[in-house]
Amino acid sequence: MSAFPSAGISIATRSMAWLIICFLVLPITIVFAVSVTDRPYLSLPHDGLSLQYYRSLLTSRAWHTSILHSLVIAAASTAIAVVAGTLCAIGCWRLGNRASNAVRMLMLVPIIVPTVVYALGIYQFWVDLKLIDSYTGVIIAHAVTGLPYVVITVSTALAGFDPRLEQAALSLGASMGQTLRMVIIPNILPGVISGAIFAFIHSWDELIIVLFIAGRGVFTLPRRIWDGINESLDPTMAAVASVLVLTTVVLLLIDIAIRARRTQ
Amino acid sequence: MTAGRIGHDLNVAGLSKFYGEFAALDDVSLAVRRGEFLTLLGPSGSGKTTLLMSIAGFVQPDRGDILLDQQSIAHLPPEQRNFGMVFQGYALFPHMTVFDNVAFPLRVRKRPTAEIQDKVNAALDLVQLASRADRYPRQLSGGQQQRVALARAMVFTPHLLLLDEPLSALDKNLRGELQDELKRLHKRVGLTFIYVTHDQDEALSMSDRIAVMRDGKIVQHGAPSELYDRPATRFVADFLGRSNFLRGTVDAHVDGGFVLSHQGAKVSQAIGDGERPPLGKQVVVALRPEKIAITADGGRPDNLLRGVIAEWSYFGAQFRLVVDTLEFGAVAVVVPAWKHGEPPAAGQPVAIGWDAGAGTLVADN
Ligand SMILES: Nc1ncnc2c1ncn2[C@@H]1O[C@H](COP(=O)(O)OP(=O)(O)OP(=O)(O)O)[C@@H](O)[C@H]1O
Ligand SMILES: [Mg+2]
Repeated sequence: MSAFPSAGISIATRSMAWLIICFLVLPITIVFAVSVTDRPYLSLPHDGLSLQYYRSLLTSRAWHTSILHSLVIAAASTAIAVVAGTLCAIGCWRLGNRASNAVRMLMLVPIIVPTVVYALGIYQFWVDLKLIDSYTGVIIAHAVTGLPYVVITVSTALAGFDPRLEQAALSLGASMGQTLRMVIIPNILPGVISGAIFAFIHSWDELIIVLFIAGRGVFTLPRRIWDGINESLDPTMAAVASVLVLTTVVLLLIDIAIRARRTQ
Repeated sequence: MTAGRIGHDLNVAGLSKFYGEFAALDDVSLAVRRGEFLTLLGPSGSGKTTLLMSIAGFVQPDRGDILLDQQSIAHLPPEQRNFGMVFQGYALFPHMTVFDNVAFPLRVRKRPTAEIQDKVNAALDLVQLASRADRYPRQLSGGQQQRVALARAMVFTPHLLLLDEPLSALDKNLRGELQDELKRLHKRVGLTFIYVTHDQDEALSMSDRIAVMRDGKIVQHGAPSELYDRPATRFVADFLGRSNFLRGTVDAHVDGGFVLSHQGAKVSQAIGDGERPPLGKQVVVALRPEKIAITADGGRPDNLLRGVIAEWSYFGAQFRLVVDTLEFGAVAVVVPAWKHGEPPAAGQPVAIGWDAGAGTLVADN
């Protein structure tokens, strides 16, 4: 990787970059600020800081259930997305022809098509399959929409994988299964983990699809925040949102650490 | 599998491989004998890797057959052929230690742990890397990686060992060292080796037999000395060592040979057991520079030409001269330095001579 020649970057470009960063980060910092408010409604702290809404989050059964729902759904859908996405990426890589490129493009559809449109489609489909407001329904929907992240990261990892390693394994007598398990997967593992992290984050904070296909039975964390904002202005939501953001940030940091280890 | 016996023979029969219209292999036939060190030699793009990969099973030939001990193996996938392979760039598994790399072929065969221990240690001893068993490939030098690849490809006693330019990434000194080592290893284990290179010195010094490839065909095969002394074509004479080419017409037939004439010069050329070319035919004679002598050295050669030294260079053991002759233009001559006495001088007139048996009649392609 080449460093940017710093002399080539003008002051204007730098200021622009910082402005964009502030723009991206500010809403998040406001959420953090609101979460420690001392007021009984959604607002910035006034006379002092208070952790009362974190305390109420810890004691509220409703929030607990939602966190649990979200965790289970995210874990299950991630598992499905990782297995299917990794196998799909490896299959496309092994074929390496035009058809496999088309398949890889097709896999990206869930992130190209507007989520609302996609959610509507899934809704129709799920009604027929009687999957509305069921764990299975949400897990499958999140697995399918999380798939592209896995396909992308694993494909990227495979692009840097020396195909001769596969040939070497085969020439040494390994079956295709053994080659996959002992040579290919260990070498693309950072890509697989990256994909898993993104798929997890995707499900963890996904709202739109859940709004369409889940009711009272499956009540995920983002869904409860959404309802909370519509119904009351309880600052506990800001505390929840902070937890949501922190989880995501931690996962991303893990991802960065894994990537850094790989490039060492 | 035929276990218990080391070294197998391999027959390639009429093998062709097309990429679109382009023939990467064009009706290649080749017999590799049991325990032999056979080298595929040829310029870049001549189809050496394609042939090796067809034997290994990674390239599906469009026509022809491959037989191991008279049994067709063309339908077998690579993992069932039981051929060891050393790839260009080694292809060691980066996430495994040296030990695990070498153990890999035994582990996938589900051998017992004790046997794996013994065999891997023996293989690492063989390539003198026992002390590096716990290292990862990236912690090894190029030559060491190369030896790990070799140990890995031999540890499961394969039917054949296929090597694709295994030394090309190494510097010259290390290469020479590993060439010797590889040759010794071959003698010791008795495996059949098929070795790909485009380095003619490597081919000459290591092989029992060489097959020279060009444009997807094998143009000539035989023992190194046979190929060097009796190249069939101008291409082989030029690719394997260096050569002068004397062109002319067949002027007369004499006992055991013919006379070639060109611009008034007459050159006698012996012909072994081959046919004498018809009178008046345009022919090419390949003549190795080291078979030409500066005649002041004594003796009465069959052929004598006069010229002046155009260039010379000193290589320690020898002088390489370019002598400008009136009849044949520039002629390269290599003479042992100790024989020549004082260094030659550019512009100095000399007479060069060679015997009728020194040159070889070659096909002009
Ligand atoms: N997959 C392929 N598709 C199209 N053409 C190919 C393919 N593989 C090889 N070729 C062509 O076949 C010819 C022979 O290639 P090959 O790799 O066997 O050459 P080589 O003798 O090993 O050369 P080098 O010494 O450079 O390794 C080349 O012209 C190459 O471009
Ligand atoms: Mg090659």
